Amino acid sequence: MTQPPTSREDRLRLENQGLRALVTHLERQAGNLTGLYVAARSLLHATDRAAMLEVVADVIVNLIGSERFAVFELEPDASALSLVTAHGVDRDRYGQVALGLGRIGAAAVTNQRYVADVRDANEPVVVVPVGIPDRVMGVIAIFELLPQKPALQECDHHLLDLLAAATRRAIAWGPHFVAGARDA
Amino acid sequence: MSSQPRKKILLIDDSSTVRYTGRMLLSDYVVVTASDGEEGVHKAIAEQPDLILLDVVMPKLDGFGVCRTLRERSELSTVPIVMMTTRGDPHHIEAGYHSGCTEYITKPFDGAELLERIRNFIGE
Repeated sequence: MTQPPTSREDRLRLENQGLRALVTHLERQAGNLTGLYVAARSLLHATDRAAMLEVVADVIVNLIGSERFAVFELEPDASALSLVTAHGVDRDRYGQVALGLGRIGAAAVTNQRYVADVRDANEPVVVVPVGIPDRVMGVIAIFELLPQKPALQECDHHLLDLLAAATRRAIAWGPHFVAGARDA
Repeated sequence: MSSQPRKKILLIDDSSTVRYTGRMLLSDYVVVTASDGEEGVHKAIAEQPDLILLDVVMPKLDGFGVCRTLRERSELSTVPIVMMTTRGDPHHIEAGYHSGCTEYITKPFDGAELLERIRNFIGE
């Protein structure tokens, strides 16, 4: 016949459960911070546009969780956005996007990040303007999150901040720039 | 404090981000990495890891191929192989288990979940 747990045992069990939950929470946070650190370092060490955009794509696929996304840059005459790189997206359809058109074009005009409340198969779920506060230089558009990723988390927005800054550099560098030394 | 040698994990993934993140997250273990399936097979044979983390979509030899190859070797037939992939649909999961993987987790992975799965197999 088993004895009922004593109050001290109950207390210890509860403390143990609390500690386990805390450890799990901290490990999750550590994972998120690790992803941010790795993304930041990888982006910092990219020395040309292609390498930078490769890291951007790698982070979106493996850390944020999307296999359908695209990066656009504003054309020199600022009339439209041109596709720079795409993954899992129809390049013919999105080769050029007029400013103000759809979620992508709208973000380029408003310079505001867009996160969809309702998913639309024909529009991206996340649009991140790239540039400086008073000048948009491009856009990162994520068309679909992986099925196992129901929504963006706070850490994903921090990652998107990093990616926007990196994409700004990549766009500013242009297609033929190669950094000779790490930029200040 | 334990004086046991650290367990060894082989991380096979063509993503430099995943390899870098894995090395940092799994600092309690010895982590060896490979960037494609063929290199992964060679390193698994050479390093005899205690656990293998394996991506699916990779150049040269995909994760399913790596798994099948390793399971044919007697010394690696029982090593825990955890497939990590963006492909979470039932078809791919079934294919993973068919190829001989022990566990299947989807990307982007949660750091706490990954550590828990690893500890379930090989401890701290």
